[in-house]
Amino acid sequence: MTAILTPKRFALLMTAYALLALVIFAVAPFFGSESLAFNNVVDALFSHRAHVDADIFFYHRIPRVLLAFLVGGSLAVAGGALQVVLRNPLAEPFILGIAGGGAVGAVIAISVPGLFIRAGPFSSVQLLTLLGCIICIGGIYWLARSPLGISMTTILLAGVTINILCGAAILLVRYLVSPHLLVAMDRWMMGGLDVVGYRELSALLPLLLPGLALLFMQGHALNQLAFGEEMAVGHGVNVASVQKQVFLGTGLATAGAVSLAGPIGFVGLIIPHAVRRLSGVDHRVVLPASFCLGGAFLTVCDLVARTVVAPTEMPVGIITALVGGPVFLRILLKRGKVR
Amino acid sequence: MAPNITETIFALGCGDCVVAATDFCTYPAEARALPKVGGYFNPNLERLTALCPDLLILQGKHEKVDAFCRAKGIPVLHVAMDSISSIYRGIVDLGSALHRPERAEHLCTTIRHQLEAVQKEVAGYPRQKVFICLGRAPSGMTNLYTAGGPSFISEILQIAGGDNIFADVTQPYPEASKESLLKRAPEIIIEMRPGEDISDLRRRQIIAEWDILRGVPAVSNRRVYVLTEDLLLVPGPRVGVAARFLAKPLHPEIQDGS
Repeated sequence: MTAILTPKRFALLMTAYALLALVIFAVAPFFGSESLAFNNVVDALFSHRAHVDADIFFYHRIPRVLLAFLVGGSLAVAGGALQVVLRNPLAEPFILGIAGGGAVGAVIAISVPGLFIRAGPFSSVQLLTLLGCIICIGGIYWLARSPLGISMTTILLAGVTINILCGAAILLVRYLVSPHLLVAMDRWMMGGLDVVGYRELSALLPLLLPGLALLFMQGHALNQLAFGEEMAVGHGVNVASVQKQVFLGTGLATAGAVSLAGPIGFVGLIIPHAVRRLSGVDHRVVLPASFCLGGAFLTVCDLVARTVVAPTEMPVGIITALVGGPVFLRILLKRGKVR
Repeated sequence: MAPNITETIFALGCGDCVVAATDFCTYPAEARALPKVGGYFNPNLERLTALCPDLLILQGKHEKVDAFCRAKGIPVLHVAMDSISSIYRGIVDLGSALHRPERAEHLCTTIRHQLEAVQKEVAGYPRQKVFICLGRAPSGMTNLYTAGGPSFISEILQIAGGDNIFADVTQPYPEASKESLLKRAPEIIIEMRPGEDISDLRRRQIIAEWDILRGVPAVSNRRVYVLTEDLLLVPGPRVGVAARFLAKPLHPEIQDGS
């Protein structure tokens, strides 16, 4: 399946993925828990008259679809890069302890109702989540750095340990707070892509864009790294620098995603593997393709989450696993038969 | 073993036979002074053993306490008060268990009269479309939890002259879609923050957080109310008081007369 990547093949593959992403991205805003009359939307757009349908379309649906796409794409790219650098097919963005740190921040913000900080567009939950993520990433980096670069084993172990520590901290907070706050905490843990307007989205970009850019630049180096660190060094790859950049890129992108959407699992683990199965293991394709497929996947999942039980909503984290699990198993099965 | 049960027992005049209550039993004031035996998630079985009650009353299902009582030979009474009709049933059950059937009958009649009185008062006024917010992510408009048709609060709202915009939902406490919230255009939003101590400044901040949903009539007409009284979420003998309380923000014009 993994043919040599000619420019033509690259263009072909990327066009296919981009097309898929574009179609889903274009279709998703037209469905929601309420059916909108689109002549009203168009009318309001051109005449600047306020109408509830236009309000829903422009301030609720489009930002939400954008957020779903960005978060899904970022998590998938981060997962794809980490799987190579950590040399572990089970690696995903949350393995770095990010989800744990973010969750502690969120739980603290929720449990102290009087706590009311707002910095720019961020609410107290988002702010503390971000802070938790940054502390955890910084801590793990500090633990894992050595004169020879970053120790990947240490990163894995430290990440898992920090997640466990954070889990205990969350349980402690949960034990202490009054029960009616537990619902809000549980809900945060399930992940959600609920946004209103574009303020929070634009706040996310300074984290996501540099993070993604850092990761996208590593495609070639990751290909070399996949053959082993010695091989990569032999081919002139500065392994320590690649590891650092992937780590930083993942940290930025994931912290941004978690602070707005909560810990949405599964996307970062499954999407890169699905892409490798579908179009080969060349990471110059895997990374951008993961972005397209991850974004499209989470957008579809969110579409299901907000329509299937209308007029109520379902946490998107449930859908990602329920929809993604069987689909991925099917891909595994199919490929297994070909061999 | 629940605030509404403790309240009912006191309302039946049997407050002096209560040996312990949960951490959450704060009404009436006498209940606060009782020995505490934890809550639903952390029942203090050691203290229950030490107190050795003659009867333990449980709201709903609780396997751990049930099994404990069976092992210790403590008789258990189950009540399930989570709607107006089941409140009456619970009161009657408790009345017969505590040998106060006529007090229970009397209490039910009082509640019935209170509810009828509220209904009569609001009858002359147009019904209001209401969105009930039971919880949301702090300082954001995400994860809006509301009350569906089968919930207790939706039932009282109905009596208080309001129509819950999510009454068609069969889940008792669902997460509302904001699209549907905008489309259903409630005239009033009631946000519940039971038990929280809120300053006037904080209240204004909470109300201002709704401004982001500017398309909703309740927001543009400044009819967002924050209620902190926990009696609204306790399905017990104060249901009549709760209905009257809820009618106040719905129909501000009524209160002048009464």
